Amino acid sequence: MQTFQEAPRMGYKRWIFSFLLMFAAIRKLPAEDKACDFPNIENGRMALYYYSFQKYYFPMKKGEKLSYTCLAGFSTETGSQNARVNCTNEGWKPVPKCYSKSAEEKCSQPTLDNGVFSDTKLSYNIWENLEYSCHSGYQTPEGKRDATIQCLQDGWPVQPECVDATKKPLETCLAPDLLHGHYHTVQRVFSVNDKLRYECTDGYLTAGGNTTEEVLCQVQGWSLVPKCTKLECSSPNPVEHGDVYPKKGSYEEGDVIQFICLEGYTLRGSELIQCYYFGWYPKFPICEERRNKCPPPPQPPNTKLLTNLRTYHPGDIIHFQCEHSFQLNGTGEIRCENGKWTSPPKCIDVGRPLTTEDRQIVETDRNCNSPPVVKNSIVINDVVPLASYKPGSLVEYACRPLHIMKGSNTIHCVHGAWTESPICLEPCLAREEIPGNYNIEMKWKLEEEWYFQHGDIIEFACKPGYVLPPLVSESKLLVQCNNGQLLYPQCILKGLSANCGSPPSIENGVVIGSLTENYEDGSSIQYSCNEHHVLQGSRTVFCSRGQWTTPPVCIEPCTLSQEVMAKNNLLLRWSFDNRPYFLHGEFVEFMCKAYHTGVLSSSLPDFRVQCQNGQLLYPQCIRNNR
Amino acid sequence: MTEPTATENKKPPAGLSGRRAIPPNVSNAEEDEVPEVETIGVVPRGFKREDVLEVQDVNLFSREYEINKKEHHTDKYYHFKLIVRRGQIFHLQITFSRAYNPEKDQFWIEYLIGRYPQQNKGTYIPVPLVQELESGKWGAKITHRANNSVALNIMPAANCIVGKFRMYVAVLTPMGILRTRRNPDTDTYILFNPWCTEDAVFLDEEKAREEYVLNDLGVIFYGDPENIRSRSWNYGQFEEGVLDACLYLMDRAQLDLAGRGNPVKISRVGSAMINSKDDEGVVYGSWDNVYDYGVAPSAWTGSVDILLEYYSTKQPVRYGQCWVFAGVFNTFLRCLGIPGRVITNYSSAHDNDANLQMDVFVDEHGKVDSKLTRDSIWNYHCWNEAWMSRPDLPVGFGGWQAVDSTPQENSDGMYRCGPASVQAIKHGHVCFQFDAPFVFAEVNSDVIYSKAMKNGTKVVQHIDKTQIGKLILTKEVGTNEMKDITEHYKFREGTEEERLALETALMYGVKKSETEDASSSTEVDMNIVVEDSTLGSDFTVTITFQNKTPRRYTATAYISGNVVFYTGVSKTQFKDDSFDVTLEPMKVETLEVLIESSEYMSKLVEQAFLHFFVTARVNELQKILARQKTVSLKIPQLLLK
Repeated sequence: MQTFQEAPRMGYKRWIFSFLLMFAAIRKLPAEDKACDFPNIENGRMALYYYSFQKYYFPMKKGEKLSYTCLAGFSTETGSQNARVNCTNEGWKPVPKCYSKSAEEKCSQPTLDNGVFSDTKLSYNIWENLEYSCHSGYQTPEGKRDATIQCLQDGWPVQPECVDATKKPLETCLAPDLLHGHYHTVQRVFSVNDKLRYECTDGYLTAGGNTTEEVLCQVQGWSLVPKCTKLECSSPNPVEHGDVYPKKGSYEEGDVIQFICLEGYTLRGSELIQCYYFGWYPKFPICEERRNKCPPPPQPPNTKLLTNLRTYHPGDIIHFQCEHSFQLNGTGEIRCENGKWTSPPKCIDVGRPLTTEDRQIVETDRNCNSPPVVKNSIVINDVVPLASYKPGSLVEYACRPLHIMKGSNTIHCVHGAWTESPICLEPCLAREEIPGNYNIEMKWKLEEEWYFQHGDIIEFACKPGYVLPPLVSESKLLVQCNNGQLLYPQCILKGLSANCGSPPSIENGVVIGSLTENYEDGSSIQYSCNEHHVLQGSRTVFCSRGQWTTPPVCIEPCTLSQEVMAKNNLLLRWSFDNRPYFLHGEFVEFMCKAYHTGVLSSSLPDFRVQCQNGQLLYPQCIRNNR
Repeated sequence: MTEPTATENKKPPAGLSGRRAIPPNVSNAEEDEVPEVETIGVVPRGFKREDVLEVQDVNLFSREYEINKKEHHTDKYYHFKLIVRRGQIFHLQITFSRAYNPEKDQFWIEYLIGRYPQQNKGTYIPVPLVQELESGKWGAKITHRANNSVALNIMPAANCIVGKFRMYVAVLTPMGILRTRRNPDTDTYILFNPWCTEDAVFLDEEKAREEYVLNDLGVIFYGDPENIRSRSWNYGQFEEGVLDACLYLMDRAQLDLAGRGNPVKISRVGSAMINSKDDEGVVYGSWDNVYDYGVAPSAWTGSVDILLEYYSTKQPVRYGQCWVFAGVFNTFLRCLGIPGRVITNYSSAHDNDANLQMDVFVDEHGKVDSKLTRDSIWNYHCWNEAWMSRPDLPVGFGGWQAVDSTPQENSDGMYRCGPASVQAIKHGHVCFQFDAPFVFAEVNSDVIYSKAMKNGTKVVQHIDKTQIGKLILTKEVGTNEMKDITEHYKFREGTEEERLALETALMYGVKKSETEDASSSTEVDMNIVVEDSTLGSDFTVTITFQNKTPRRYTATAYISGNVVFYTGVSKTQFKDDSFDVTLEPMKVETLEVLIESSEYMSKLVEQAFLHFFVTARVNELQKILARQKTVSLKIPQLLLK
């Protein structure tokens, strides 16, 4: 009994045990390190030895690096020719890949069963369309007889297919692979009457032209096959007599195209149009015959235009009016004919409109005499001078070549007199030979005579051996031409004037060092005073441009005169004053002898006396009164 | 902006007219005259001199404690002029006669090198003022202005020519272009930059850069694999005068200035110039133990004296051997900024003509025929490795490149070798330039022992595949320890990869005869062991025979002991003995030969290498066994108490 009951229990346990084992084993497997295997790089190569020594190097461990290079015509994601990838737990990161550099990718002819292509080319350029038709009894996946596929950057978007037409219409719809968009469900197979919603990424629109779309699975397929296409504008229609740049198969949002008309045709409309999400804006222009338009109408001086059209066509008429105080001379209108305008009228200055009073004033508004003659100029609008000129007339002057005009070039006859006439400023003639007494020459060598216009600056330099006089600035060498006058600077002989002779000697002092006859410009010497003499001024003198600077003076000391002291009854107050010499500026203090007092008078000094230039002003003392 | 031209009163040198517009531009030391004033247009009509922006002072911050040399890792150079590395910003300050007004004033900086500066050759560089500096391209950016001074950041291109540039500041005035006068204080040296990612010599590890560019001391290994010795070497690349000596080297080689931004060219020219052959280069090699009127190769302790002597005398310096060439070459590389290291290859096949076999001939009796045996194996050989990318080769072959300046063989007419990609050598892709088959053979050759028959034919007796390229060493980064880099050059002996690399090399033209090993390793084996000993003491050479057959054989063994130079070339033979041995079946027979110090001491040459050649003729089999071994005696240690 027991065994019978135990057996199934045992088996049950065993089953549990082995299940647990298996479970544990399955759990263990993914925990190991994933190594990086030999990568297959399309259109790229690694170091040669990795191919022949493949078994030795691969799989590589985490942390190892690998360099690869792309073949000519291809480049890495970043655009460079070489790149390095790292081995990580998830394999090679980043994945080594080479992309085509050229846009000239081609699609090769795809295979097609039960159908035929419209042409027999073996390779198609990018953007090229390929048509195919299915044999009888077969149809395209969409259920049609013919279809077209376009060669894109990544190849054919779909493979051409001809499927059995006799098959019953599909009862299910298959959600096709959706590029640049995603479905709102993971379901891929739908029954009839099921709805499918999908959304396109930025820059792409659904088959119906929206960002999201809901399609219905019908008996014959999707109501609208789910597809995300790049926002595009339709290819512009060819422009008659003109061309479009750049030419592309399709235009994306943001593209701008330019219209150019052929010779003899002009653009009507905007030259540039841009592709937006709603299409092209602005409207496409047209190229029309040049003769069908006139240029913008003229506006002669002092006229007012009475129109504000933008373009003018044959037959258009424009009216003119003159400005205040001008009178119309000619017809007041012009016509656009054959691509150009008829001749416009002139508006002549007549001052205020004439009234009866004006007539009197006209009398006083006299004519002018012949215009003044401006020196060095010619009149350019009045070849034969008249005796008298009507008010309002004008005369235009032009200066002779090289002359600069100062003032207005036109003068008017107003109230019987001419307005201020201009002046023509004469140029200066600079020659190689400059008057010799200046001792200068042109800094820049001239070919021949050279004229400098008024206002130009001519640069001079002293002739070799000459310098500017002392205290004359360098800027004097830059001379400006002033109405034909040039103020030449003057240079003096360097040798004689720049050097100095022997320095001046001073009284009671000597020059330190030895004296010579000739000192160079800029040299200096120092003075020293005799014993007890005070030096006043600058100890050092400089030779500047032939002149020595002011030498110092040596001031004599004072000596005490015993006679005068006795005569004035004076004694020295301080014992330290009992010395032979007092330097200029030093003080001596006296006092009266016994029984004497000082005589205080304005003419006499007080008892503290300063030595001045060798002189001491002694005070006086007289005997006391009894 | 016109380029400065040579003064007009010089006629083109004879032999050029009609063929070239200007002579070849190969000298860094030569200069042309740059005009101070270049007038543009017609005679000026006058202008105010105070308006002109005149340069009064240029401060390059070129002292070793200032920012430029510190940032560029050039502060160790004993040099007062500015030394910077390309591809990295350096700083300048210009003081003008008045404040710079960016709206009205226009100035730029010019760098010139050589006698015929041309913008399209990179020898005349006008540096434009830009808003933002682009990494790796020439540009100048004003960082700030104060009073009359302007501070600038200059970025040299990452592929700029390496050498000494003259610098001028040019100002555009209404009168024309005004330039500063030639001022040698503003000369700027521009070097390779292993710190810059766009530079061809970029090296990604800081410790490696400190060792291979900035370390001026090192050790070079020699001796033999069982007794590795090292000698110190003072590379001294920062010492006074060495940088100018290295630039003089390139001028002497007549390397065109336009190519001096390319480390591949510079290292190849260096390998030709460091030896004196063909081109009166730096070091005169001598291996004959006669060193008259010069310094013996083992007496040198550094490269500085050699380079400075060459720079001043312009004559090759006597004498050097392989480590001297390698030491001087390493100084040249590190001085210019290319990371470099010296490596030593033990048992290096010499003069191999890219031929993978070293032939040793023995006569019928089994004795080595020294007349026929011409190939020699150097006990050790030193060459250099330089670090650079190889844009001239397919991807994967950049990194360390072997360059060898010891004159061994002609490479297309000149004694030079390299740069050969070490990765290419390891994998057998020896088709890639330069001289890879030669270096491959240096580390991979087989030694083939052949018997020279009386009728002129040669019968192969034994092939030793492991003797050549036993061990390759270099100095470790940061310490004086040795770093085994044998696996950089070859896969391990006997592996599948080693065979694959060899097959690849054969595919690309390395020569190897199809001889198969006909040795009787199935019957009798012979081995030779030399006791480790110091100079001056006796030692034993043990020869073991192993008879693997059940038959008994007799053999005559010859032992030849020679004093050799480290190049394997024999100077004198000090032992020439023969012994008869009986080989009992399935037994091992040992023969001990005592070498007394008196036998060899008087005959020693420098470096104390002894070479033993043991051949044995198994009479019954008419087969000859051969083994050779080189030992260098240990120098007794000197203990100071």
